[in-house]
Amino acid sequence: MSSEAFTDEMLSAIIDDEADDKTIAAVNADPAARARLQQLRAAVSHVAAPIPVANPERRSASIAAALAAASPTTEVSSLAAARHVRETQPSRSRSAPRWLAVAAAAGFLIVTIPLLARFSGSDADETATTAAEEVDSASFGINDSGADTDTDAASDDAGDSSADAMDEVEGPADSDDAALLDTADQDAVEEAATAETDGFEPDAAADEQEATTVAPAETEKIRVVVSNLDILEEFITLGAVAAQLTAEQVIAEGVPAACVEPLADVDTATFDLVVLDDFGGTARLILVIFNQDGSTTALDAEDCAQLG
Amino acid sequence: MPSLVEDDDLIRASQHGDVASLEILLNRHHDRIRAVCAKIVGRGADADDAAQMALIAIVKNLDAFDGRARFTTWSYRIATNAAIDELRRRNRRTATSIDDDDQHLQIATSGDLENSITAKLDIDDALHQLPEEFRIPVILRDLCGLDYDQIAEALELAPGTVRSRIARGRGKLADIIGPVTDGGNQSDTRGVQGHDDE
Repeated sequence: MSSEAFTDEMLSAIIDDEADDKTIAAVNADPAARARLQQLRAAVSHVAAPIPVANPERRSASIAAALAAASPTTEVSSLAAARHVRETQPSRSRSAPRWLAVAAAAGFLIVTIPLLARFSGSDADETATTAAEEVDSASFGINDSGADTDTDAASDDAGDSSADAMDEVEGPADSDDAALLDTADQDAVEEAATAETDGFEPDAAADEQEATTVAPAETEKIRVVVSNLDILEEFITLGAVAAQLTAEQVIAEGVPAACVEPLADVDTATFDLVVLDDFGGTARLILVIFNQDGSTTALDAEDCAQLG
Repeated sequence: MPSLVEDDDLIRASQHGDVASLEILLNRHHDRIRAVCAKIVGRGADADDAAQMALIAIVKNLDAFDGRARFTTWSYRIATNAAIDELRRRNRRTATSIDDDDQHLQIATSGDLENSITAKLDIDDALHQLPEEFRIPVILRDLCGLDYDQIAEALELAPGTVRSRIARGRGKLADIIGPVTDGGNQSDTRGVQGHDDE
Protein backbone atom coordinates (compact mmCIF):
# COMPACT_ATOMS: atom_id res chain seq x y z
CA MET A 1 0.00 0.00 0.00
CA SER A 2 1.49 3.33 -0.98
CA SER A 3 1.69 6.21 1.44
CA GLU A 4 -0.78 8.14 -0.64
CA ALA A 5 -3.32 5.50 0.21
CA PHE A 6 -3.10 6.40 3.88
CA THR A 7 -5.58 9.14 4.51
CA ASP A 8 -5.59 11.28 7.60
CA GLU A 9 -8.70 9.45 8.68
CA MET A 10 -6.89 6.13 8.55
CA LEU A 11 -3.90 7.50 10.41
CA SER A 12 -6.14 9.20 12.89
CA ALA A 13 -7.79 5.87 13.54
CA ILE A 14 -4.40 4.51 14.53
CA ILE A 15 -3.98 7.31 17.02
CA ASP A 16 -7.37 6.50 18.45
CA ASP A 17 -6.61 2.82 18.71
CA GLU A 18 -9.21 1.95 16.15
CA ALA A 19 -7.05 0.64 13.33
CA ASP A 20 -6.43 -3.02 12.69
CA ASP A 21 -3.02 -4.66 12.91
CA LYS A 22 -2.66 -4.87 9.15
CA THR A 23 -3.05 -1.13 8.71
CA ILE A 24 -0.66 -0.38 11.51
CA ALA A 25 1.97 -2.65 10.00
CA ALA A 26 1.53 -1.05 6.62
CA VAL A 27 1.97 2.41 8.03
CA ASN A 28 5.04 1.43 9.97
CA ALA A 29 6.56 0.12 6.76
CA ASP A 30 5.95 3.37 4.92
CA PRO A 31 8.24 6.27 5.90
CA ALA A 32 5.97 8.93 4.44
CA ALA A 33 2.93 7.57 6.19
CA ARG A 34 4.91 7.30 9.39
CA ALA A 35 5.99 10.90 9.08
CA ARG A 36 2.45 12.04 8.55
CA LEU A 37 1.34 10.02 11.55
CA GLN A 38 4.01 11.77 13.55
CA GLN A 39 2.60 15.11 12.42
CA LEU A 40 -0.85 14.09 13.51
CA ARG A 41 0.49 13.03 16.87
CA ALA A 42 2.11 16.41 17.24
CA ALA A 43 -1.25 17.99 16.56
CA VAL A 44 -2.83 15.84 19.23
CA SER A 45 -0.13 16.89 21.67
CA HIS A 46 -0.75 20.48 20.78
CA VAL A 47 -4.40 20.18 21.66
CA ALA A 48 -3.71 18.22 24.80
CA ALA A 49 -1.13 20.70 26.03
CA PRO A 50 -2.07 21.87 29.51
CA ILE A 51 -3.15 25.42 29.98
CA PRO A 52 -2.57 27.57 33.02
CA VAL A 53 -5.20 27.22 35.66
CA ALA A 54 -7.55 30.04 36.41
CA ASN A 55 -6.74 32.83 38.77
CA PRO A 56 -7.63 31.33 42.17
CA GLU A 57 -9.82 34.25 43.08
CA ARG A 58 -11.72 34.07 39.87
CA ARG A 59 -12.01 30.32 40.17
CA SER A 60 -13.47 30.71 43.62
CA ALA A 61 -15.82 33.42 42.46
CA SER A 62 -17.07 31.30 39.58
CA ILE A 63 -17.82 28.39 41.84
CA ALA A 64 -19.46 30.65 44.39
CA ALA A 65 -21.63 32.15 41.69
CA ALA A 66 -22.72 28.72 40.55
CA LEU A 67 -23.43 27.62 44.10
CA ALA A 68 -25.46 30.71 44.72
CA ALA A 69 -27.44 29.93 41.60
CA ALA A 70 -28.30 26.59 43.09
CA SER A 71 -30.25 28.09 45.94
CA PRO A 72 -31.24 31.59 44.98
CA THR A 73 -33.92 31.94 47.59
CA THR A 74 -32.22 30.37 50.53
CA GLU A 75 -29.52 31.44 52.87
CA VAL A 76 -26.01 30.84 51.67
CA SER A 77 -24.93 27.47 52.93
CA SER A 78 -22.02 26.59 50.73
CA LEU A 79 -18.46 26.88 51.79
CA ALA A 80 -17.35 29.05 48.92
CA ALA A 81 -20.31 31.35 49.09
CA ALA A 82 -20.02 31.55 52.83
CA ARG A 83 -16.43 32.57 52.51
CA HIS A 84 -17.45 35.39 50.26
CA VAL A 85 -20.06 36.52 52.70
CA ARG A 86 -17.77 36.17 55.66
CA GLU A 87 -15.15 38.29 53.98
CA THR A 88 -17.76 40.89 53.32
CA GLN A 89 -19.05 43.38 55.78
CA PRO A 90 -21.84 45.16 53.97
CA SER A 91 -22.33 48.69 55.12
CA ARG A 92 -25.74 48.95 53.52
CA SER A 93 -29.05 47.51 54.44
CA ARG A 94 -29.37 45.24 51.43
CA SER A 95 -28.85 41.58 51.94
CA ALA A 96 -25.54 40.45 50.56
CA PRO A 97 -26.36 36.74 50.26
CA ARG A 98 -29.61 37.42 48.49
CA TRP A 99 -27.94 39.91 46.22
CA LEU A 100 -25.16 37.46 45.58
CA ALA A 101 -27.63 34.77 44.67
CA VAL A 102 -29.62 36.94 42.33
CA ALA A 103 -26.55 38.17 40.56
CA ALA A 104 -24.99 34.78 40.36
CA ALA A 105 -28.11 33.21 38.99
CA ALA A 106 -27.66 35.33 35.93
CA GLY A 107 -24.04 34.40 35.49
CA PHE A 108 -22.06 37.20 37.02
CA LEU A 109 -18.60 37.06 38.29
CA ILE A 110 -18.86 38.19 41.84
CA VAL A 111 -15.97 39.33 43.90
CA THR A 112 -15.45 41.26 47.01
CA ILE A 113 -13.84 44.60 46.51
CA PRO A 114 -12.94 47.32 48.88
CA LEU A 115 -15.52 49.93 49.55
CA LEU A 116 -12.86 52.43 48.71
CA ALA A 117 -13.15 51.44 45.08
CA ARG A 118 -14.48 54.61 43.76
CA PHE A 119 -15.99 56.15 40.76
CA SER A 120 -12.65 57.46 39.72
CA GLY A 121 -12.31 60.65 37.81
CA SER A 122 -9.24 59.81 35.85
CA ASP A 123 -8.57 61.71 32.71
CA ALA A 124 -10.64 60.72 29.79
CA ASP A 125 -8.49 59.19 27.17
CA GLU A 126 -9.13 57.58 23.84
CA THR A 127 -9.59 54.23 25.37
CA ALA A 128 -12.32 55.40 27.65
CA THR A 129 -13.99 57.22 24.83
CA THR A 130 -13.82 54.17 22.65
CA ALA A 131 -15.38 52.04 25.30
CA ALA A 132 -18.06 54.62 25.78
CA GLU A 133 -18.84 54.58 22.12
CA GLU A 134 -19.07 50.86 22.11
CA VAL A 135 -21.54 50.83 24.91
CA ASP A 136 -23.50 53.62 23.40
CA SER A 137 -23.80 52.38 19.90
CA ALA A 138 -23.68 48.69 20.01
CA SER A 139 -23.77 46.42 22.88
CA PHE A 140 -25.56 48.09 25.68
CA GLY A 141 -28.89 48.58 24.05
CA ILE A 142 -29.66 51.88 25.65
CA ASN A 143 -32.95 53.53 25.01
CA ASP A 144 -31.50 56.71 23.71
CA SER A 145 -34.62 58.75 23.96
CA GLY A 146 -35.08 57.89 27.57
CA ALA A 147 -31.52 58.46 28.42
CA ASP A 148 -31.41 61.72 26.60
CA THR A 149 -34.50 62.90 28.34
CA ASP A 150 -32.98 62.34 31.68
CA THR A 151 -29.69 63.80 30.78
CA ASP A 152 -30.93 66.71 28.80
CA ALA A 153 -33.07 67.72 31.65
CA ALA A 154 -29.91 68.14 33.58
CA SER A 155 -27.51 69.46 31.05
CA ASP A 156 -27.47 70.08 27.34
CA ASP A 157 -23.75 69.61 27.44
CA ALA A 158 -24.23 65.94 27.91
CA GLY A 159 -25.23 65.58 24.29
CA ASP A 160 -24.72 62.17 22.82
CA SER A 161 -22.78 61.02 25.78
CA SER A 162 -25.99 60.83 27.71
CA ALA A 163 -25.84 57.14 27.04
CA ASP A 164 -22.68 55.71 28.34
CA ALA A 165 -19.04 56.05 28.89
CA MET A 166 -16.46 54.25 30.85
CA ASP A 167 -13.98 55.50 33.29
CA GLU A 168 -10.64 53.87 33.24
CA VAL A 169 -8.64 53.00 36.27
CA GLU A 170 -5.27 51.67 35.36
CA GLY A 171 -3.89 48.98 37.58
CA PRO A 172 -1.19 46.38 37.49
CA ALA A 173 -1.78 43.97 34.67
CA ASP A 174 -1.59 40.93 36.85
CA SER A 175 -3.46 42.26 39.82
CA ASP A 176 -6.58 40.60 41.05
CA ASP A 177 -9.86 42.42 41.25
CA ALA A 178 -9.54 43.54 44.80
CA ALA A 179 -6.01 44.71 44.43
CA LEU A 180 -6.79 46.37 41.18
CA LEU A 181 -9.50 48.48 42.64
CA ASP A 182 -7.95 48.86 46.00
CA THR A 183 -4.97 50.45 44.39
CA ALA A 184 -6.97 52.47 41.97
CA ASP A 185 -4.86 55.06 40.33
CA GLN A 186 -4.72 57.70 42.99
CA ASP A 187 -2.79 60.01 40.74
CA ALA A 188 -5.54 59.90 38.21
CA VAL A 189 -8.11 60.55 40.86
CA GLU A 190 -6.27 63.53 42.19
CA GLU A 191 -5.55 64.83 38.75
CA ALA A 192 -9.17 64.63 37.78
CA ALA A 193 -10.25 66.24 41.00
CA THR A 194 -8.17 69.25 40.22
CA ALA A 195 -8.76 69.33 36.51
CA GLU A 196 -12.53 69.17 36.75
CA THR A 197 -13.09 72.06 39.02
CA ASP A 198 -16.83 71.98 39.04
CA GLY A 199 -17.39 68.45 37.99
CA PHE A 200 -16.25 65.12 39.18
CA GLU A 201 -14.50 65.16 42.51
CA PRO A 202 -14.42 61.64 43.79
CA ASP A 203 -12.11 62.42 46.64
CA ALA A 204 -14.51 64.88 48.08
CA ALA A 205 -17.31 62.38 47.92
CA ALA A 206 -15.14 59.73 49.46
CA ASP A 207 -14.15 62.08 52.22
CA GLU A 208 -17.79 62.65 53.02
CA GLN A 209 -18.26 58.92 53.11
CA GLU A 210 -15.39 58.49 55.49
CA ALA A 211 -16.71 61.22 57.72
CA THR A 212 -20.20 59.87 58.03
CA THR A 213 -19.88 56.11 57.90
CA VAL A 214 -17.42 53.40 58.73
CA ALA A 215 -13.87 53.68 57.53
CA PRO A 216 -13.92 52.43 53.96
CA ALA A 217 -10.54 50.82 54.14
CA GLU A 218 -11.84 48.42 56.73
CA THR A 219 -14.95 47.55 54.87
CA GLU A 220 -15.55 45.41 51.85
CA LYS A 221 -18.66 44.74 49.92
CA ILE A 222 -19.69 42.47 47.14
CA ARG A 223 -19.66 44.02 43.73
CA VAL A 224 -20.65 42.57 40.42
CA VAL A 225 -17.83 42.35 37.95
CA VAL A 226 -18.35 41.73 34.29
CA SER A 227 -15.62 41.34 31.77
CA ASN A 228 -17.45 42.70 28.79
CA LEU A 229 -20.38 44.85 27.92
CA ASP A 230 -22.37 42.18 26.20
CA ILE A 231 -22.60 40.32 29.45
CA LEU A 232 -23.55 43.49 31.27
CA GLU A 233 -26.33 44.02 28.79
CA GLU A 234 -27.55 40.47 29.16
CA PHE A 235 -27.53 40.65 32.91
CA ILE A 236 -29.42 43.90 32.98
CA THR A 237 -31.97 42.24 30.73
CA LEU A 238 -32.14 39.29 33.08
CA GLY A 239 -32.52 41.60 36.03
CA ALA A 240 -29.41 40.57 37.88
CA VAL A 241 -28.05 44.07 37.66
CA ALA A 242 -31.04 45.68 39.20
CA ALA A 243 -32.33 48.91 40.57
CA GLN A 244 -31.23 48.32 44.10
CA LEU A 245 -29.41 51.42 45.21
CA THR A 246 -30.73 54.85 45.98
CA ALA A 247 -29.07 58.04 44.92
CA GLU A 248 -27.98 58.56 48.48
CA GLN A 249 -26.30 55.18 48.53
CA VAL A 250 -24.37 55.60 45.32
CA ILE A 251 -23.24 59.02 46.45
CA ALA A 252 -22.13 57.51 49.72
CA GLU A 253 -20.11 54.98 47.77
CA GLY A 254 -18.08 57.63 46.03
CA VAL A 255 -20.13 58.73 43.06
CA PRO A 256 -20.20 62.51 43.17
CA ALA A 257 -23.53 64.09 43.88
CA ALA A 258 -22.81 66.36 40.94
CA CYS A 259 -23.13 63.28 38.78
CA VAL A 260 -26.23 61.78 40.28
CA GLU A 261 -28.39 64.72 41.13
CA PRO A 262 -28.80 66.24 37.67
CA LEU A 263 -29.90 62.96 36.17
CA ALA A 264 -33.19 62.32 37.84
CA ASP A 265 -35.30 62.88 40.84
CA VAL A 266 -32.95 61.68 43.50
CA ASP A 267 -35.84 60.62 45.68
CA THR A 268 -37.15 58.14 43.16
CA ALA A 269 -34.26 57.24 40.87
CA THR A 270 -32.65 53.84 41.25
CA PHE A 271 -29.15 52.72 40.49
CA ASP A 272 -26.60 49.98 40.60
CA LEU A 273 -22.84 49.97 40.50
CA VAL A 274 -20.94 47.48 38.38
CA VAL A 275 -17.28 46.95 37.74
CA LEU A 276 -16.24 46.37 34.16
CA ASP A 277 -12.96 44.53 34.26
CA ASP A 278 -11.42 42.86 31.26
CA PHE A 279 -8.67 41.39 33.45
CA GLY A 280 -6.17 43.03 31.20
CA GLY A 281 -5.16 45.61 33.73
CA THR A 282 -8.08 47.91 33.25
CA ALA A 283 -11.14 48.27 35.41
CA ARG A 284 -13.94 50.76 35.26
CA LEU A 285 -16.64 51.48 37.70
CA ILE A 286 -19.96 51.97 36.01
CA LEU A 287 -23.00 53.71 37.39
CA VAL A 288 -26.10 52.05 35.98
CA ILE A 289 -29.20 54.21 36.11
CA PHE A 290 -32.62 52.69 35.81
CA ASN A 291 -34.77 55.33 34.23
CA GLN A 292 -38.44 55.76 34.89
CA ASP A 293 -39.32 54.81 31.33
CA GLY A 294 -37.62 51.45 31.65
CA SER A 295 -34.50 52.38 29.77
CA THR A 296 -31.08 52.00 31.25
CA THR A 297 -28.17 54.35 31.19
CA ALA A 298 -24.59 53.65 32.13
CA LEU A 299 -22.28 56.46 33.06
CA ASP A 300 -18.77 56.92 34.22
CA ALA A 301 -16.71 59.74 35.57
CA GLU A 302 -16.22 61.35 32.23
CA ASP A 303 -19.92 61.66 31.67
CA CYS A 304 -20.35 63.01 35.12
CA ALA A 305 -17.70 65.61 34.48
CA GLN A 306 -19.63 66.74 31.45
CA LEU A 307 -22.81 66.89 33.43
CA GLY A 308 -21.13 68.89 36.13
CA MET B 1 -5.02 7.76 50.46
CA PRO B 2 -8.73 8.10 51.05
CA SER B 3 -10.90 7.20 48.13
CA LEU B 4 -12.79 9.99 46.49
CA VAL B 5 -16.50 10.18 46.67
CA GLU B 6 -17.86 9.15 43.32
CA ASP B 7 -19.36 11.76 41.07
CA ASP B 8 -22.64 9.87 41.04
CA ASP B 9 -22.95 10.16 44.80
CA LEU B 10 -22.14 13.84 44.72
CA ILE B 11 -24.66 14.38 41.98
CA ARG B 12 -27.41 12.57 43.83
CA ALA B 13 -26.70 14.52 46.99
CA SER B 14 -26.60 17.75 45.04
CA GLN B 15 -29.90 16.97 43.42
CA HIS B 16 -31.32 16.63 46.91
CA GLY B 17 -30.06 20.03 47.90
CA ASP B 18 -26.72 19.19 49.45
CA VAL B 19 -24.75 22.28 48.56
CA ALA B 20 -21.53 20.98 50.09
CA SER B 21 -21.60 18.03 47.70
CA LEU B 22 -22.31 20.38 44.86
CA GLU B 23 -19.33 22.46 45.81
CA ILE B 24 -17.09 19.42 45.78
CA LEU B 25 -18.45 18.44 42.40
CA LEU B 26 -17.89 21.88 40.93
CA ASN B 27 -14.41 22.12 42.40
CA ARG B 28 -13.57 18.73 40.99
CA HIS B 29 -14.63 19.59 37.47
CA HIS B 30 -13.94 23.30 37.24
CA ASP B 31 -10.46 23.06 35.82
CA ARG B 32 -11.44 20.56 33.16
CA ILE B 33 -14.42 22.63 32.16
CA ARG B 34 -12.35 25.76 32.02
CA ALA B 35 -9.71 23.97 29.99
CA VAL B 36 -12.30 23.06 27.39
CA CYS B 37 -13.54 26.62 27.33
CA ALA B 38 -10.02 27.99 27.09
CA LYS B 39 -9.16 25.70 24.20
CA ILE B 40 -12.28 26.80 22.37
CA VAL B 41 -12.29 30.52 23.05
CA GLY B 42 -8.67 31.10 23.95
CA ARG B 43 -7.18 31.91 27.28
CA GLY B 44 -8.10 34.94 29.30
CA ALA B 45 -11.24 36.49 30.62
CA ASP B 46 -13.39 34.99 27.88
CA ALA B 47 -12.46 31.51 28.99
CA ASP B 48 -13.30 32.35 32.58
CA ASP B 49 -16.59 33.87 31.53
CA ALA B 50 -17.45 30.77 29.55
CA ALA B 51 -16.41 28.49 32.38
CA GLN B 52 -18.55 30.39 34.82
CA MET B 53 -21.51 30.27 32.48
CA ALA B 54 -20.97 26.55 32.14
CA LEU B 55 -20.86 26.00 35.89
CA ILE B 56 -24.06 27.93 36.38
CA ALA B 57 -25.71 26.01 33.56
CA ILE B 58 -24.61 22.77 35.14
CA VAL B 59 -26.08 23.76 38.47
CA LYS B 60 -29.32 24.93 36.95
CA ASN B 61 -29.72 21.79 34.89
CA LEU B 62 -28.42 19.27 37.35
CA ASP B 63 -31.89 18.12 38.30
CA ALA B 64 -32.38 17.06 34.71
CA PHE B 65 -29.20 15.02 34.65
CA ASP B 66 -30.37 11.44 34.65
CA GLY B 67 -27.08 9.60 34.63
CA ARG B 68 -27.53 8.03 31.24
CA ALA B 69 -24.44 9.84 30.05
CA ARG B 70 -21.35 10.23 32.17
CA PHE B 71 -21.27 13.45 34.07
CA THR B 72 -18.03 14.42 32.39
CA THR B 73 -19.58 13.97 28.96
CA TRP B 74 -22.63 15.93 29.97
CA SER B 75 -20.60 18.71 31.52
CA TYR B 76 -18.30 18.92 28.53
CA ARG B 77 -21.31 19.38 26.32
CA ILE B 78 -22.46 22.24 28.52
CA ALA B 79 -18.98 23.72 28.55
CA THR B 80 -18.79 23.48 24.80
CA ASN B 81 -22.08 25.28 24.40
CA ALA B 82 -21.03 27.94 26.86
CA ALA B 83 -17.79 28.45 25.00
CA ILE B 84 -19.58 28.68 21.68
CA ASP B 85 -21.92 31.26 23.17
CA GLU B 86 -18.91 33.18 24.38
CA LEU B 87 -17.37 33.04 20.92
CA ARG B 88 -20.55 34.45 19.46
CA ARG B 89 -20.56 37.25 21.99
CA ARG B 90 -16.97 37.95 21.13
CA ASN B 91 -17.74 37.97 17.44
CA ARG B 92 -20.54 40.45 18.04
CA ARG B 93 -18.17 42.66 19.93
CA THR B 94 -15.62 42.42 17.16
CA ALA B 95 -18.19 43.12 14.51
CA THR B 96 -19.65 46.10 16.28
CA SER B 97 -16.53 47.83 17.39
CA ILE B 98 -13.23 47.84 15.64
CA ASP B 99 -12.29 50.58 18.04
CA ASP B 100 -12.61 48.10 20.82
CA ASP B 101 -9.91 46.00 19.22
CA ASP B 102 -7.70 49.04 19.23
CA GLN B 103 -8.40 49.43 22.89
CA HIS B 104 -7.28 45.89 23.64
CA LEU B 105 -4.23 46.38 21.48
CA GLN B 106 -3.31 49.41 23.50
CA ILE B 107 -3.73 47.49 26.68
CA ALA B 108 -1.59 44.66 25.40
CA THR B 109 1.19 46.86 24.22
CA SER B 110 1.20 48.96 27.31
CA GLY B 111 1.25 45.98 29.65
CA ASP B 112 4.30 44.10 30.75
CA LEU B 113 6.21 42.01 28.29
CA GLU B 114 4.98 38.72 29.61
CA ASN B 115 1.38 39.66 29.11
CA SER B 116 2.08 40.88 25.63
CA ILE B 117 3.77 37.63 24.72
CA THR B 118 0.94 35.65 26.20
CA ALA B 119 -1.55 37.62 24.19
CA LYS B 120 0.49 37.05 21.07
CA LEU B 121 0.62 33.34 21.71
CA ASP B 122 -3.11 33.29 22.17
CA ILE B 123 -3.61 35.03 18.89
CA ASP B 124 -1.22 32.71 17.13
CA ASP B 125 -2.52 29.59 18.68
CA ALA B 126 -2.77 27.18 15.81
CA LEU B 127 -5.77 25.52 17.30
CA HIS B 128 -7.80 28.63 16.83
CA GLN B 129 -7.08 28.65 13.16
CA LEU B 130 -9.21 25.59 12.87
CA PRO B 131 -12.82 26.11 11.92
CA GLU B 132 -15.13 25.59 14.86
CA GLU B 133 -16.67 22.47 13.35
CA PHE B 134 -13.28 20.74 13.45
CA ARG B 135 -11.84 22.39 16.51
CA ILE B 136 -14.50 21.32 18.97
CA PRO B 137 -14.51 17.60 18.17
CA VAL B 138 -10.73 17.59 18.24
CA ILE B 139 -10.72 19.28 21.64
CA LEU B 140 -13.26 16.88 23.04
CA ARG B 141 -11.23 13.96 21.78
CA ASP B 142 -7.66 15.02 22.39
CA LEU B 143 -8.06 17.22 25.43
CA CYS B 144 -11.05 15.68 27.14
CA GLY B 145 -10.44 12.11 26.09
CA LEU B 146 -14.00 11.43 25.03
CA ASP B 147 -14.52 8.61 22.56
CA TYR B 148 -16.30 9.05 19.27
CA ASP B 149 -19.66 8.00 20.61
CA GLN B 150 -19.46 10.36 23.54
CA ILE B 151 -18.47 13.22 21.30
CA ALA B 152 -21.28 12.32 18.93
CA GLU B 153 -23.68 12.44 21.83
CA ALA B 154 -22.29 15.70 23.16
CA LEU B 155 -22.41 17.43 19.80
CA GLU B 156 -25.47 15.64 18.50
CA LEU B 157 -23.62 14.40 15.46
CA ALA B 158 -23.34 11.00 13.85
CA PRO B 159 -20.27 9.05 15.05
CA GLY B 160 -19.03 8.82 11.48
CA THR B 161 -19.17 12.58 11.18
CA VAL B 162 -17.25 12.92 14.40
CA ARG B 163 -14.59 10.52 13.18
CA SER B 164 -14.22 12.41 9.94
CA ARG B 165 -14.08 15.81 11.56
CA ILE B 166 -11.50 14.73 14.09
CA ALA B 167 -9.30 13.32 11.37
CA ARG B 168 -9.66 16.39 9.20
CA GLY B 169 -9.17 18.69 12.16
CA ARG B 170 -5.99 16.91 13.17
CA GLY B 171 -4.80 17.00 9.59
CA LYS B 172 -5.39 20.71 9.27
CA LEU B 173 -3.75 21.33 12.59
CA ALA B 174 -0.76 19.25 11.57
CA ASP B 175 -0.45 21.28 8.40
CA ILE B 176 -0.54 24.51 10.41
CA ILE B 177 2.04 23.32 12.90
CA GLY B 178 4.32 22.06 10.18
CA PRO B 179 6.69 19.13 9.89
CA VAL B 180 7.88 17.29 12.92
CA THR B 181 11.59 17.83 13.20
CA ASP B 182 12.70 14.80 15.14
CA GLY B 183 12.80 12.43 12.24
CA GLY B 184 9.40 10.93 12.39
CA ASN B 185 10.75 7.43 12.56
CA GLN B 186 8.77 6.39 15.52
CA SER B 187 7.08 3.10 15.02
CA ASP B 188 3.49 3.12 15.89
CA THR B 189 2.19 1.82 19.11
CA ARG B 190 -1.46 1.40 19.61
CA GLY B 191 -3.30 4.24 21.14
CA VAL B 192 -2.26 7.79 21.32
CA GLN B 193 -1.81 8.47 24.99
CA GLY B 194 -2.36 12.04 24.05
CA HIS B 195 -2.68 13.18 27.60
CA ASP B 196 0.63 11.70 28.55
CA ASP B 197 2.53 13.11 25.65
CA GLU B 198 3.28 16.35 27.37
